[in-house]
Amino acid sequence: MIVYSPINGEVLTNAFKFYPRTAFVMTKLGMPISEELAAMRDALKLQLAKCQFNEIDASSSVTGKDFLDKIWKVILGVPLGIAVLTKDIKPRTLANIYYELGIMDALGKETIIVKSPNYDIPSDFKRTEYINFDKSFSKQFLKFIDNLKEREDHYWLMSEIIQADPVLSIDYIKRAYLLNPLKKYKKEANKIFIENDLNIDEQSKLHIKNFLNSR
Amino acid sequence: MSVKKDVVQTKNPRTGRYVKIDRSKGRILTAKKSPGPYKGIPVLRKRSS
Repeated sequence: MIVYSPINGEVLTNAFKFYPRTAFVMTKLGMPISEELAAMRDALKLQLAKCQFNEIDASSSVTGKDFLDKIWKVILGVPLGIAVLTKDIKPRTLANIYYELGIMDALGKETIIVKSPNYDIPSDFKRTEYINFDKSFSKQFLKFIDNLKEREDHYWLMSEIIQADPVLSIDYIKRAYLLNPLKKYKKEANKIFIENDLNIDEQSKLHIKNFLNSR
Repeated sequence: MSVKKDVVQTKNPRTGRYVKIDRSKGRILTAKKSPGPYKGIPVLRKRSS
């Protein structure tokens, strides 16, 4: 796995933290927040809790380091990104949200947009799944979470089918693990890693060990 | 005795489309753009272990 830092353009060689079963919420965080956005955040929080998903956003932890570096590393560690969009969010904030959404898509993370019914999605994001915040929100959101379970099973199956490429196989297992941190996933990843240790490049080993040693 | 085919397909739940994979190389060959599976390619639905 090769990941380049958006901060300095060099390949990432540092360990980063994993946040299994956690959603990174991208939205306007600073005050003032509209009543609609506040209601959307509350409803989302409730649904995530129901599905045993943790929630994290850019204000959840302050490291004192570069803000983009912090966000990027959180994105690397989570399985899911949720953009919450309303018509009253300013273009400057929207640009940040879409930038983060783009990073998540490029890194193979699950993404979804929760939006006000009257908010139009830009054309580059037409293929990104979205849920309107209306009467059917809870039902649609649970449907999306059900689909995440199917994706977890798919990644687990894919890891078996593509075992001839151990690095890719372990990466698929990692995606399943982030959606649902079952011990069997890490056990299998560790087995593949030990069996193929000599054939795995040093850069990939760094990422795999980071995953296997994560808590 | 059943022969294990090298090329198989499985449905991607994110897109609802089938993906063709060469098991011997561990490589994803292509993803279908239209609904339904590829003809003549075994479909895998669940992991064997």
